[in-house]
This record gives sequence, structure tokens and C-alpha cells, in this order.
Amino acid sequence: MDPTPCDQSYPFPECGRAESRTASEQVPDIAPPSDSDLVRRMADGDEQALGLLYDRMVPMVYSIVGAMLADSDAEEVVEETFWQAWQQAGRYRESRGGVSTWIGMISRSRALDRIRARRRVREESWEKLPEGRPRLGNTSFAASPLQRTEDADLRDRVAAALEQLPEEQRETVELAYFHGMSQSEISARMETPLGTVKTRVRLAMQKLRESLDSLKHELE
Amino acid sequence: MNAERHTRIREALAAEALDALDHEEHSRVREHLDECEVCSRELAALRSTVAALRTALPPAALDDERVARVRERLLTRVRAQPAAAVAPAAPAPRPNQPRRTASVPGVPVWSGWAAAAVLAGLLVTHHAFHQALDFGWMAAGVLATVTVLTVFYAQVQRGRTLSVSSGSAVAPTAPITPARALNPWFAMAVLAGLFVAAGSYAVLTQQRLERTEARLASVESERAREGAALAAWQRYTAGLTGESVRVIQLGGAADVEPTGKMFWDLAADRWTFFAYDLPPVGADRTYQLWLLTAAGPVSAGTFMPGSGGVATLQAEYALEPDQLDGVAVTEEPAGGVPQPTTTPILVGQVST
Repeated sequence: MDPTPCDQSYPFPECGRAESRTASEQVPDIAPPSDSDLVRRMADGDEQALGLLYDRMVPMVYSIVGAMLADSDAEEVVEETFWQAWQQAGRYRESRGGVSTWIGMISRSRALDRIRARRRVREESWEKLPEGRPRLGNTSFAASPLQRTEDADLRDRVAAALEQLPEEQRETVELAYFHGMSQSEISARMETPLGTVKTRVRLAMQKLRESLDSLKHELE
Repeated sequence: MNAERHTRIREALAAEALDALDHEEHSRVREHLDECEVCSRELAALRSTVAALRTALPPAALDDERVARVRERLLTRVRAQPAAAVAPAAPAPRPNQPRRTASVPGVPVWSGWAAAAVLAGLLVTHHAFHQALDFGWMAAGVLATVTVLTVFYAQVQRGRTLSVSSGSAVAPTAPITPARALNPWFAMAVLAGLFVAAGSYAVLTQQRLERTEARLASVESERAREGAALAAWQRYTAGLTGESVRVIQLGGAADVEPTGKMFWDLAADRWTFFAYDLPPVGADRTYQLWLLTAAGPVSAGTFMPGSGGVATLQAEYALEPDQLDGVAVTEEPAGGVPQPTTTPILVGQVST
């Protein structure tokens, strides 16, 4: 019997091994565990479940963290994200949102912590933001056929929602989302009154929420 | 609930979902959320919107080697320390947030000082009324060394913990969770209390020793004085009752009836004289005792009678046994004279 081809949807340890089976030993058709199942198993101390969840979520986590940090920091923050997920698996509640949302929030929080910590230690200011900071909704990547996945449509729709925001509102959201800047810091950076920044944040989030509300189930 | 405050908080929820609030505003929002279900639901919805933004991020170009390395490191970390429902690392301070000193989860920093104070107080009180610690300073030194080593170790542990949570470029060689890192201030507070207690024992011991030595010195001094007094009494009585003592009886030379007796201890050359019924003398007068020798009278001292005309005098004077002819007492000017100037009122001859 040929080895089972490596597939992210199969349990990793089973990938690549050849097994001989008789007719009376048919392997039952086991559906891959859901993300929630993996988190429940992690809460019971199943490190194999952690490995599986890692394999599934690491592309998303790297996307989030990689957009906010340098490579060396990103690698450590990715590890810290899954480590925190491992430690807090028992506290995850599906009613509050999907596992990917939960992992995404953890990764962003850890990345923001790293940004703020470095800023505190090195006394960096927002004036030293790297050139060419990431943009939300950059459709140039999604345009590549090689990069289209089953999530490409979803990404395009979220990107479209962002594109509909006025430039100053989107820039405000990006400064907060990627660089962990407070409204006061954004106000100083953009040389805009604080009240104006607050209004931009509120309006931007309101519009995004309206646009993305219909995608809520697809995003979980 | 204040409607105006509620409106202000609600307007800040969008920024809260983006973690873009300053510390003070963040605290106000959190405080409000504890009592407002409506705003809590609103925030949850906004957080979902923020979470959705990740979808718009360009896919990361994954480095398989790096991904595998992180995976291996993660699983190694898990196997080294079993999973436990532990709180995550303390987040980096928000903008404008004062730096807080972390503490052992659930145990405030002041508890360490309280424990140390209670312990020190109990031990000092206990040992103040019991046998003091003989090697108090040695114990204090040992505890001081242990304190320094513990603080150093805890600082190293804490540095490794903070390097993990704050994102230092130095990867930890062994994973340490903040909850398991020993709070150096807590440890130092407890050990400082033990050090104070041990030092107090030593001080108490030293004070007790000093008091004991002082009492001993006092006792020895008293003993020396008593010994001297005893020796003096022994000499006194020996001058009266010793085998070498000769007694010379003195009698009055006139109608006045004073009497006296001289005890001459030949072995010690000590003279002890007693006189009775001596009449009082004027303020400018005194009695003087004379040893009558072949060479002439030798003054043995002056004296004044006490109540009842009684007088006692002791002197030391070497004289050969055959050189004394007698003993006499005369009344002389105050201060005495080299030679008798009056008729003796008491005289006694040495019997041959």
C-alpha cells in the first residue's frame, strides 16, 4: 500500500508512512478533528493536538505577526502565541468566537506587546516607523493565481470593505492595528486633533462592522 | 448609570477593540464593562470585526525550516513543563501607563514584608525570654549569604521571564513562566526578616552576656572587699589573742579613773590600744599614746575618746621585746607633740 500522502487535513504523524492492511482491517473513515476539538484536547494536555492546531493556524499567525514585526521577533511571537493558547486552552469558549479568531487575537496581542515593549526599552517613537509599512487590503497579493486559496474570495471581500474607507480613516486603523499606537500617538503622528482621530476610529470601525457583519460566519 | 458617561464609553469601544486607548481611558472602559452588559456585547462584536481584519493581510511567505523549528521548540517547551491553566505573561504597559512591578500571582508584595515582620517579631519575643542563641552572628551571616544568593537567582529567573514576555532577542534556554519565577522582593522580604531575627538574637545574647559579666565583676569586687575586711578583722583579733601578744595594763595617775590596755603582738609588731573612761578634752586638745623606751618616749599616735570615754587605737611599730619599758597616755595640744608635755593620765609598765 502506498504511503498516505502528506495532507494538512490529516493527522501529521500518519503522514508519509506505508501501512499494510488486510481486508478485515479497513481503516475507518475518521474525519479530521475540528479546531474546537483540538483545543479541548489541548486543555487535557494533548500535545499532539497542539501540534495539529499549530500546523493549521501558523500561516494565519505568521501573516498577522509578520505584518507587524521583523522576522526575528515574529518567530518568537509565533511561539509565544501558541504557548499562550496551550496554557489557556481550558478557558476557551466557543460561544465567544471561533478558534481562528481566538488565536488571531492572541497573536495580535503578543505582537502589540512586543512592539510596545521595544518602544519602551529603546525609546522608539512613532517617527521611526519602518518605511513601506503594511497595508490592510493589499489586493496585489490576492491577484496572484498561485496564492489564491479557498479563502481568497473572503480576503477580497474584507479588502474591499477596507478600500471603501476614506484614506485617513484607513490609515488611522492601520496605525492602531499594526503599530499598536494609541489614539493620542496617532493624533501626534498625523498632526490631527485627538477628537478627530477618535471620530475617525469610531466611524471606520462602524463601517467595517457593517460591511463584515454578513461575513461573520465565514470568518469563524 | 450615568447616561452621559455611558455614551462616552460606548464611543470609545471602537478604539478599545483596536487596543488604541490610553491607560486611563482603558481603565474607565473596563470599569464600565463590569456593570454594563450592553457595552460588553458591543465590544465583543467590535473585537470580531478587528479579528476579521487579519483576513485582509497578505499571506505570509512561510519558511518551512523556520516553521518546523518553532514547532519543535514549542513542543519541547510543552514537554518540559506540563500544560497548566496559568495566566499569560503580563502584557507590556499601555501607552502612558506607569510601569507596574509584577508580583507572585495572587500574593501581594506587601505580604512578604508582613510575613517577615511577624516572623521577626515572634522570634525576637520568643528568644527574649528563653535561652539566647549562642551563634547568633554566625546564623545571621549564613542567612545574609542565603539572602544574597536567593535574590541573585531570582533576578536571573525574572530576567529570563521578562525577556520572554517583552521580546528580547535572547531566546530563553529553558522556558520559565512568570508564575513560577520567584519574586525577588518577596524572597528578600522573608529572608530579611529572618536576618533581622537572627541579628536580634545575637544582640540579645551579647547584652545578656555583658550583663552577666557586669554582675560577675560586681560580685568579685564585693568578694574582694569582704575578703579584705575579713583579713583586717583577722589581723585585729590576732593582735589581741595571738600567742605572741603581751598585754600591758594602764591605770590612771590621778583621781580620774580612766583605764587602758595595750595589746602588743610581738610577731606582727602590731599595737592595739583600748582606753576607757577617758574624760573629754577641749577642741584644741587631744590624747597622745606613748611607747616608753630606754631612748625616750615614742609617739604611737593621737586619738580622741568617743562616747563613754572609750578609745581604740592601732599602730604598727617594730620594737625589740626588751626595749619597751611601758606605755603612757598624755593630753597634748591638737595634732600631737614630739615629746610629752603633760603628766600622763594613763600609765602602764611592762612586767618583766
